[in-house]
Amino acid sequence: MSEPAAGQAPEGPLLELQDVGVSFAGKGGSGLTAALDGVSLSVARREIVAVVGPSGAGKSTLASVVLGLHRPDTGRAVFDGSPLAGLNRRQLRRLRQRMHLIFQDPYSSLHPGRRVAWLVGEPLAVAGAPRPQRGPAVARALAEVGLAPVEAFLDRHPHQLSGGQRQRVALARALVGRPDLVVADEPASMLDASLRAVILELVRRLRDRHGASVVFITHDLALARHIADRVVVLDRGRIVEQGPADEVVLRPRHPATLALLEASRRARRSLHDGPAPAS
Amino acid sequence: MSLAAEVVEPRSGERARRLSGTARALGIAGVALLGVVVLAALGASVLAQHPPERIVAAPFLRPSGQHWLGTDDIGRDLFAQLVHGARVSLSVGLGAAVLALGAGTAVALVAGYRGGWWDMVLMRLVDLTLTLPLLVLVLVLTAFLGRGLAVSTVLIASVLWARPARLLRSQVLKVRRFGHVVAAEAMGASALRVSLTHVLARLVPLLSSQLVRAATVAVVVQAGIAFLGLGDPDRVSWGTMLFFANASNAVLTEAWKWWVLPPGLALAALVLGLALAGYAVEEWAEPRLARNAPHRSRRRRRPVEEPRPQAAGTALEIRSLRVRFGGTRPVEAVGGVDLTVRRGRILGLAGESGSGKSTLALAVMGLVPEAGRITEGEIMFGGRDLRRIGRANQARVRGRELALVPQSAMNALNPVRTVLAQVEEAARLTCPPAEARRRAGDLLERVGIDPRRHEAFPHHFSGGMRQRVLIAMALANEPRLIIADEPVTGLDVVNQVVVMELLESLVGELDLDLVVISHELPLLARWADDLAIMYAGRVVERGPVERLVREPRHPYTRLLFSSFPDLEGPRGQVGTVPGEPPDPARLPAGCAFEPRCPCALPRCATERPELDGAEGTCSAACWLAGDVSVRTLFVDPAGVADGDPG
Repeated sequence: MSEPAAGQAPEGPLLELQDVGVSFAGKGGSGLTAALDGVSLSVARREIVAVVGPSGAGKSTLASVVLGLHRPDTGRAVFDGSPLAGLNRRQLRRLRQRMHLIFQDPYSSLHPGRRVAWLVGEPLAVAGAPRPQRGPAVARALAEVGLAPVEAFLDRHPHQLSGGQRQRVALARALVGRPDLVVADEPASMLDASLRAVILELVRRLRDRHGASVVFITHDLALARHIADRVVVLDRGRIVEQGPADEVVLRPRHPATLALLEASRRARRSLHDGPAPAS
Repeated sequence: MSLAAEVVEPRSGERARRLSGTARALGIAGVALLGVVVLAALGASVLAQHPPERIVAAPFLRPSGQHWLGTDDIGRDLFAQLVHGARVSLSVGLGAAVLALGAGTAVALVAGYRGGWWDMVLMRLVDLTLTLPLLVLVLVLTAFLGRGLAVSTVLIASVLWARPARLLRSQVLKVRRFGHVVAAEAMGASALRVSLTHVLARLVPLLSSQLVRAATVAVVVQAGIAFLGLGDPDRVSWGTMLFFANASNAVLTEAWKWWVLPPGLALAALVLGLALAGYAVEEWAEPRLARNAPHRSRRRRRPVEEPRPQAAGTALEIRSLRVRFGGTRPVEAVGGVDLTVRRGRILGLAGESGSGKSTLALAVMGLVPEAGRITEGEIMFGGRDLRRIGRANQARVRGRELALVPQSAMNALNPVRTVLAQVEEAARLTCPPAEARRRAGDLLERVGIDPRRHEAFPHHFSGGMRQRVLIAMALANEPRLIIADEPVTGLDVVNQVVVMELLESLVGELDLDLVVISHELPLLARWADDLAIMYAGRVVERGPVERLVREPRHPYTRLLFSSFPDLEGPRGQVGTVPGEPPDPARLPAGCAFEPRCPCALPRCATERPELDGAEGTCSAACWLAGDVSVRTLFVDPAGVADGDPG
C-alpha cells in the first residue's frame, strides 16, 4: 500500500542505536547505576522489533532514548540517517513528529477535556497540517480502528467512551500521522483480553498498510513471539540475545532469556497445557 | 516500568461534575448575593437619581423620599454613593484578581514546566513576595504612586499573585507527568503548545477557585485602603463612604444607620457572596470533596430470620450477593453472586475490568465505596453473616481475620515511611508495640525482603518487592482468609512467578485460605485450585481448576483463554473476545454475554441462564453448557486445537 511519508532514503536502517549508554544517579545518591550499557540495535524499515526483558532491564530508558526524550551519556541514536545528538530543539521536535509513542495505559494519554476529533487530530496539528486536511484524515483513522459510524464519536469526550473505545481512540492517534516509527511501551500488560487483540492487530496494520517500523516493548516472551519479526532480549542494561522471533523464543541460548521463558511457562497455563506442575 | 507510570491520574474527577446538595445550595445563595451587587453596579445610573460625586443638597440630611439614605457631610447623596460604590468594588476586585491570576499562572507555567534556573529564580521571587506584609505594602506604595483606581488595582494584584503562583506551580509539576502531556511531548509538540493546550487546561479548576479567593481579598483590601483615606478621590467607593462617615463621627450619632450600615452590609454581602460561590467552585473543581458532604442514607431493615448456617469445610460462603451503586445511572455491579471458598484451597476470581470482581472483594471486606450498597445476600465467614454483625464487629474482623492485599502496589504504600514502620503499624492492631516491631521484621523476612533493607522507603523497591511488602502487611495479624486483588498486574513475568509462589507457600505454611483476583485467566488456571469467572457482575462459570481447564463449558471462558498468546503453537495467532463488555447501567435482558457470543441462540437474548450445578461441581451459566453436541460447535478463533479429551 502506501509508502512511508518521508522515504527519501529507503536504504539503511530507520533507527540505529550505536553503543548507547545511560546512567542514573544511584539509589540513595551513591554512585551511578547503568540503565543502558553499550546497547547497539538497528531497526529496519517495515520491521517489528520486540524488546523483551524483566523490569529494571532498561526497556523504558531505551524507549526514551529512541524518542530523543533522553540524551544518552555515551554512544548515539541515529534516526533515518540523522544523529539525534546533533539536532537542535526544533529539529528534534520535527523528527519526533515522525514517531509515535503508545503508552502502557493508552487512556492516560488522552486529554480529558478534549473531544475525539481534536484528540485524533492532535498529531496532525502538532506537525502543522492545515485544519481542512485534518478532518478527512481523522475520519479515516477512526474508521480504520473500527469506530463506526465516525460521526457518532467525533464530538465525544474520553469519559463518554467505553474502555475499548478509548483504547481505539488512542490507537487512531498512532495511525493518523502516518509515523515512520512507533514505539509501544508495554501496551498490553494492563489490558483486558479483548483490547490486547486490538493492539496486536493495530501494530500489524501499522507495518503492513502504513509501512511503519515498530519497537514493541514487553516483558512477555509469548506476546513478543506472536507480534515481532525480531526479538531483542535486554537484561540489566545490556542486549544479551537477539534474533528472529521463533529462534529466540523457541531456542534461547542466554541464561536471562531462559529465565524469562521458564517464568512464562511457570506463570501460565492455557487450555491445551497439561496439569499444573507441582511446586 | 513505563514512561508515564509516575503519576496515576485521579479518574473520579473526569466523570460528569455534579455538586452535592449543600454545595449547590450555598453556591446558589452566593450567586444570588453577587447578582444583587452586580445589578446595583450595572444599573447604578438608573437607580440613583443623583450623581454620587456632586453636592446635591444640604449636608447631614436624614433619609427622605428625595434622598433615600440622606446626604453626607457636604451634601452628596448617600444612596447614589452606595450603588456607584458597587462598581468600584467589583471592578477592583475582578480586575486585581484577573491580573494576579494571569501573572501567577504565567509564573507557574514557566517555573513548573521549564524548571531549572527559571524555577529557582521565580520561586525565590514568590517567597519574597509572600513574606512582605500585604496591606502595609499596598498602603506605602499607594502613597508613592497615587490613588487612582487603576493604580490600586495593579498594586493589589502585585501582592496577590504570589500565593496562586505557588499553588499553581505545584499543580504544574504534577500535571506535566500526566500521560497526555508526555504524549504531546513525544509527538514533537513545542513547549508553548504543550503548556497552553495540555497543562493550562488541567489548571482550570484550581485557577477558578483561586480567582474567587483573590477577588475576595482584593475587595477587602481596596475597601481597607479607601477607609484609611487613601482611596481614589474622584471615585466614591464603599471604603471612602466609611472614611467620610468616620471622619464626621457618624458612628457616634444616629446617622450610622444610613451612613455606616449600608456600605458595611454591601461589603459583607459581596464578600460573603464570593466566599459562598467559591465553595461551590471548589467542589466543582475537586469533585472528591462532595464525598465528605453530609448526606442522607436510606437503609432498609434487614430480614429477621436467621441465615442458613455456613457449610462445613468452607472458609467463606457468599450467597446471592448484590451490590448496587446509586446515582442518576444506577448500576448493579454485583448481581446475585454465589461463591464458596473452600478451606485450604486457592480460589481464582477472573474477569475483565468492570466485571464486578473487585467490588465483590470490597463487599466481603465491608468496604463498599460510599456511593454503593449491598442490597441483598449473605456473607458467611467464621460461622456468621458479616452483614449482620454491625459496623464495629466488621471492623474487628477486618485485618484480624480477613485481610485484603489491595490493587496497585505502586500506590498502596505510604511513600514517606519505611516499609518496616508500615508493617509494624499494621501489626499494632493485635500486638503490643515491642512485639509488633519484631513481628514486622519477621514477616518482611518471610516474604523475602533482606533485613538490611527493612528501613528503606517504598520508592527504593521494585514493583515485585512492594507487592511483597503489601502481602507482609496483610499477614500482620494472622488472618485466616486473604483476598489478593490483582496481585501481579503490572509486574513482569519473573516477579509474577515469585509473588504467586510466595502466596502459594503461605497458604500451605500458615493454613490460610486465599482468593486471588486477576484479569489473567491463564495465570489463575496455573495457580488456583478453584476458578470462578465473572462477567457483567455475575459468575458465569465456576469449578475445580482441572475440570475447568480440561473442558470449559461457557463460551466466554473459552474465548478468554484463547485471547492470551501462547509460547508454542503457530506464530501470529492470538484470539480475542469479540465486541465489548455491556454498559453496566443497561444490561441485556437475557444472557449478558449474548451480544458477543459466537454461538448464541434466540433464547439467549431473552432468558437469563443460571449456573447449572451445585457448589463444588463444575457449573456454567449458559443455555448451551449442558448440551455436549452443541458445545462442539463453539467457534475457536485462535485455532486452538479443539480436541479436548472427554
